[in-house]
Amino acid sequence: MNCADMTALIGTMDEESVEDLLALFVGVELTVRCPPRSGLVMLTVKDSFETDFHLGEVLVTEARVLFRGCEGFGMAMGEAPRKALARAAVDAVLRCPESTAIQENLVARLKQEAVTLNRRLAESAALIASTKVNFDLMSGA
Amino acid sequence: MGYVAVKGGNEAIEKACQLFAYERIKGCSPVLGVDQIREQLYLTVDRVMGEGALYAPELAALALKQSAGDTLEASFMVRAFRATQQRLGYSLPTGAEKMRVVRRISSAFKDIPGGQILGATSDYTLRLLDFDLLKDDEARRKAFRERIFSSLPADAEIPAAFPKVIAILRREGLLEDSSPHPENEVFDITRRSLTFPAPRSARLQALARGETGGMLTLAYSSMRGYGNIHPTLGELRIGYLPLTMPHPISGEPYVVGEVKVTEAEVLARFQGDDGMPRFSLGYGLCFGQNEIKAIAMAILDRCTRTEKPSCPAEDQEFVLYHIDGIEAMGFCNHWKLPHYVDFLSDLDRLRKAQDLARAGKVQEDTDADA
Repeated sequence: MNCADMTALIGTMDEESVEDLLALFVGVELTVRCPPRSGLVMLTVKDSFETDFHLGEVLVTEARVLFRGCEGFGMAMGEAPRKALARAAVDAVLRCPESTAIQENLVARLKQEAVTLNRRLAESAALIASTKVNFDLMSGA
Repeated sequence: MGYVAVKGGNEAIEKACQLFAYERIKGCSPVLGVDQIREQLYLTVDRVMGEGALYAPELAALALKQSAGDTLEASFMVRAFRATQQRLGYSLPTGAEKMRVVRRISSAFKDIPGGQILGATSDYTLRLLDFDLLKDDEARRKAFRERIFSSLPADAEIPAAFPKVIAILRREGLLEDSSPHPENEVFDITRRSLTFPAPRSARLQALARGETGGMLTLAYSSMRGYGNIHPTLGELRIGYLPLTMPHPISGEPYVVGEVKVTEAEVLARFQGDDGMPRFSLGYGLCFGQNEIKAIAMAILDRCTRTEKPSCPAEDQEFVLYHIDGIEAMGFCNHWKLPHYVDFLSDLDRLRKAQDLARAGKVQEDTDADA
């Protein structure tokens, strides 16, 4: 799992898990460079002719955090300032070339989260897969 | 015709707003949580997000609560909120091949690569009221959850990606394969006014934020024969598209999250500029799970590409100027504003016309008597 995948995981976490993750930063020297602010991202998509068009906007929250001179960026869906901060803080820490204890703690915590997410996705996929259908044609058709 | 400005009435207006809010809470049922609307009335939330052109489930649910369930009002609120927010950027263009699919069907082919996945649908229900839901409670829900998970087949798996059904037709040269008018720039109707003929990117953006009922009406007119499109649903898929931005520091792709969408591709009557007949294609994509809207959009996309429009659904300007629910409801609502001067003028003219008619009748009677 790379840095981008790890911070993306935070986007799938519930509020309580995000607070648990942020609690790991207690005592860690972080500077909030840009406090969370909400805004819009235009979702651009491709149609079946490979024409790009704007489907509509998505409400997001973004933040930036500094850790030992490394800048981290975080963006989360919806009005989610704590999640955006968590993503930015994790991004900054994981991008920092120095090896630190917080890095190890975060990686361990996020690997646990990946297991939880994969279990949830597998459960959902199994439900969906159970609806796979193979219709029989009626005689004479 | 126009309306006239009035002033005053502040107290009555305030009381009317309070009364509207009171109507929602005057009963003795438990308080309706925004999370309940988001989770349990998710199709309505999806519709509001699509028509409001803003993907924000929490706010769409809030708007539905505030508007007492009026989807047009709720979409209006969501779009108004959108206008208060700054745009932070544009996503990297994403195609539906990256979709995490939760439903995918084709009515063109029985057997499709990856299989037909019905997903969560009410298509095969009898549309009969389920009176058991009157007794809905946590115990019932728990039992339902246990039942649905206990009956899962052990080998049920779903592919990570599904090939497009239309790719089969493209490979065999049976389907048009490129946009007839390639564009260098993506048009943004939130920044520039529509002009006609509108570029394809503008048409699709306008259709994607259209009002479901209005789009269905126009598409239905085409289906019934006011037009000559004859669509077949090549593929309908519902799933989650990644919202990916360039990371502002590293430049690498950065996944912000997932957006639920519905995509429809309709195959329509043959055409071929090069003398070789091929199926033509209509494309629909909208926020959330809204199958009727995506199919209607695909039909209207195909209809509005007709070179010589023969009916309203094929007239680009007619379609794009009338499908926006917020503009349409705004215009309809304006009739509730005071039109006193206009109406008095109409009354005055009507009375004069009646006087003239009466005078004419008297003259006719006099002529007849003579």
